[in-house]
Amino acid sequence: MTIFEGFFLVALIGIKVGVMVVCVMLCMAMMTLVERRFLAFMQCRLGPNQVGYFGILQPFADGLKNLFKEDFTPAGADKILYPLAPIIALIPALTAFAVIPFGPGIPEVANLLLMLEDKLLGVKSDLSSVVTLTAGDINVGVLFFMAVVAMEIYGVFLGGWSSNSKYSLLGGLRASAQMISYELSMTLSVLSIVMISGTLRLGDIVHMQERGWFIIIQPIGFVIFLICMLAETNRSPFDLPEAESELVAGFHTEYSSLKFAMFFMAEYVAMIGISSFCTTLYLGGFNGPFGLGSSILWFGMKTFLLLFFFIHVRATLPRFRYDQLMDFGWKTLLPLSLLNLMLTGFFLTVFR
Amino acid sequence: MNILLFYPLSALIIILSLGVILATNPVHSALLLVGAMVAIAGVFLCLNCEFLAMLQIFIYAGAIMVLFLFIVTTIDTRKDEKFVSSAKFSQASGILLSGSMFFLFFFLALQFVQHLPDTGRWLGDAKGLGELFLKSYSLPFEVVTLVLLTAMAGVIVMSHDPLYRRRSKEASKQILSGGNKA
Repeated sequence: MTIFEGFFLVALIGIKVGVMVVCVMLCMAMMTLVERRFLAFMQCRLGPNQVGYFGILQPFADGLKNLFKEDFTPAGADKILYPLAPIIALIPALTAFAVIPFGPGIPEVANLLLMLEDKLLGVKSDLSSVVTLTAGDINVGVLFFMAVVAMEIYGVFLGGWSSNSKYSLLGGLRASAQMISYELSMTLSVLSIVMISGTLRLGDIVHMQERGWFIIIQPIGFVIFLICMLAETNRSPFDLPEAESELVAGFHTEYSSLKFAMFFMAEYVAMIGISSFCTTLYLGGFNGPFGLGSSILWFGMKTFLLLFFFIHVRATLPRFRYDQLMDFGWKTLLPLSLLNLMLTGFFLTVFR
Repeated sequence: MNILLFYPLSALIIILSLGVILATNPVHSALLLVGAMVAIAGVFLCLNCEFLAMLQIFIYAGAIMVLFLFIVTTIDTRKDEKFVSSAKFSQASGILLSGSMFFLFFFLALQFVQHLPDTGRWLGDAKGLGELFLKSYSLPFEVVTLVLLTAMAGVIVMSHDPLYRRRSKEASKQILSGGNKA
């Protein structure tokens, strides 16, 4: 491989990643607005509606505001980890999108890319990038996503620890304990899907759902995943790491300015990421219902429905107590997901 | 095996591992260990073992090291505390032991590196790994799971000793009686 070919390959991947990151960040900005407006609607308020039409520029105004705020570092904070923690929180959240198949491949673009690769590199590229619209449809995609989601704990935990504050530390500890506990049930429910589809490649899982979505044969698994999804992203009613009545603001109490904004972004990006994953696994990915073709629009609509579920739950349910959270995770959800796994195995051996 | 990637990754693993034992802050050493785990996953990727690489990140970096960090931060460690042993004997024995281990592994690696099996064919995906575990090596695999189960049961039995239970009962009685008095 010459230097030119290497450069071309890197540029190609760079363009893919750049487009995806920009799209995800825009979605994240809009999500914050949708959440604030909808929460306001549920609470009989107006919400932010002044900046731009329907307040559509509010997220960007907030971003600018955060940029100009004082960047405060508490005394006794860890010199290296305190500024690093928000970055560690945001990077895995964005990395997780690498394996999500967003839509069916666009033939014109794919053919152009294949032709370019063939001419410049002289290699026949992997055809999976033609079939689905994804950055990298690797053969262990499900595991990649789960591994990256597992790495998201570090940002929150280190943010809590390095601030040298008791509220922050307690928030970080709560977050890590909660995420570890609910990750088990989530992995077990995802495992049922892997057993049915017999593959770890997310593109193949989506193509297997062309005739019927996996939510039909995995209703228990879907509900377990939905609950674990809320707990994994530290969202209400599992938002104990940032319970304002007990811990001020939890793990990001001492953070301000852009560092706080990065924690905020990481939370919303993680929400979008895990909703996309749920769409891919249970709701047929980019396949339309009743055989209505496949398009990236279906994917967007389903993901938005799940995100709307996040917001609706936040507006509806009160927060759990900590012992309730642990009891529910270990004594109800984990046995239920094990039962689901055993039932799946049983039906697979009987009906195959 | 991609040599271009292997040597930088190996250097990274060695530097991070040295950092683990040289860092004075226990949280820093735990984090450097996380970095080393991720770098080892990179070496697995060089060997075409994608499945093992992902499991390495998922289980070691994502779950076990989080529990490590959990314990490290909840036990009392002062920031100025230096984890350096001053005893001459322990230093000498440590150098002797690690030096002999180094040469042992060095010569073993020199002997075996010539005929490494093509791991990608077997360990690349879940299917190959499952066939190895449940067909070729099913008995050792089951024995290992039994050993792990025994260890776990042992830990649970040991942490639930009757002395501890009595003490905890007393504590609850104390609280109850105190509540009655008040």
